[in-house]
Amino acid sequence: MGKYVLIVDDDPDMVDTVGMMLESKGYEVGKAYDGVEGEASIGKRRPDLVVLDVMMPRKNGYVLCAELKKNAKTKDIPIILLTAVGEAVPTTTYSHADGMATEAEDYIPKPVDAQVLIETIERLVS
Amino acid sequence: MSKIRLGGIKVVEKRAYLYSSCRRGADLLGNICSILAAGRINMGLLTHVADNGTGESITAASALSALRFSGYILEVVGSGECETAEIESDISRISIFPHAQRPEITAALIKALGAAAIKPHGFASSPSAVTVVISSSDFEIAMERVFESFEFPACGSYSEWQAVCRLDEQQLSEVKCSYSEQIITIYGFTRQTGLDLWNVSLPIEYMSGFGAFLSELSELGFNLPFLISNSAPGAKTIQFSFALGEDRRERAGQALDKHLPGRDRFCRGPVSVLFLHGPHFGDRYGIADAFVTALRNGGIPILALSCAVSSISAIIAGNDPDKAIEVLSTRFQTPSGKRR
Repeated sequence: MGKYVLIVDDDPDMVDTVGMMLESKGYEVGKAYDGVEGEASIGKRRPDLVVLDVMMPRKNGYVLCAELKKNAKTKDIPIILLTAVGEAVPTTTYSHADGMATEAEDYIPKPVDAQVLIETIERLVS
Repeated sequence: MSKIRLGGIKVVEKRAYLYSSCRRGADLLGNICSILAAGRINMGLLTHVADNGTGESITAASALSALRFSGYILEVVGSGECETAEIESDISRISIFPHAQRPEITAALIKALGAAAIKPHGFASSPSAVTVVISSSDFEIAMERVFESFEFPACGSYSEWQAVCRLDEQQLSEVKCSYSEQIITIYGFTRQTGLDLWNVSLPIEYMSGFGAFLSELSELGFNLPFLISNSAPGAKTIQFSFALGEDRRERAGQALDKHLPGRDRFCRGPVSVLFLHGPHFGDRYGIADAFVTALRNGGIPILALSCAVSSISAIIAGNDPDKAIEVLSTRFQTPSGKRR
């Protein structure tokens, strides 16, 4: 069985797209559709890596990332933040600086380049 | 009855809905998309069928306000370009996911609404979600029925959803997010070939029969990659368009005969479905317009279309969607492979 990657995003089409991408590369994929569900999922089964969206209901990705990094049990889980905040998105209520200020291991703008995401995951879980 | 466990539910409230139908080869798909794009209006939902089997094209769209639609409707109906064009000014959209192409998800949604005598204005599918459009006056009872039929990890009941999730969804829908792309960046195209496109027209009171038909497809292990439906506000009929594997044609026909005997239906194949997904497609303007314009300029007819959640699903003729993908590549691109 491959490494276990948890995808947390409130966009179900996005979760499936990234999930298929990772499954085709041999990863085992878990799915959660908001920050609270993502947190619960991590509590049940520790992932090897979390792909985490920013704008989500109940608990956004920045908050969940910060909580996971403060918790001794989860601080070592690599986190990749995926967000629309990037050069193609000049206007949003979520700032790039907020994302950079988190302790996520990496920060990739949407839409995700499959090659970049896979390379980043492989680097972080190895 | 045991509940079906799903991943989530998304709700958009207080939106407008436009329904239009045309004959003689005309349709309003391109015009509706271009009007909304020019007005920088996000279109949260769009469905289209070019020919429902009786020579009628149906296009429906949902957006924040009906204002942009109103003048246009008067114009096209007055000119005779369009047979029917109606606006419902207060609808809600409920999306549940993931459906994983399982017909029983849509079947259970139809049954849930039918049990409450709710007439849906339409359904639309995305690769992961199924969305139903209802009048806002039916919203409360519809949500109660949905929570009786489905189980979601975030909220256990409608009242819990109201207390916990509703405000979050409203706030997220107000996030201001604009893109400045010349060519729209997407995750990529996915496709499914070897399909038939079915059209079935029903009196509303037969909708439960359609739900039973979908349940039987589920028992047979069939996948349902595409489904839309439309019904004019106040109309007593509803039209369903859906895709099934070509090799399922005979068995699907038998199931239709069993659950909806004597109802008009129309099947054509082979067709393919092309899925296109990009970030924030559900709340950006101009995406559907770019998609429809590119295909039309490339001479590729769209037989049916569903824009829902954050994806576009289009049915095109034949088993080779490569030309369509080539044409769409003039307006959409996948990321470059380099870190930005």
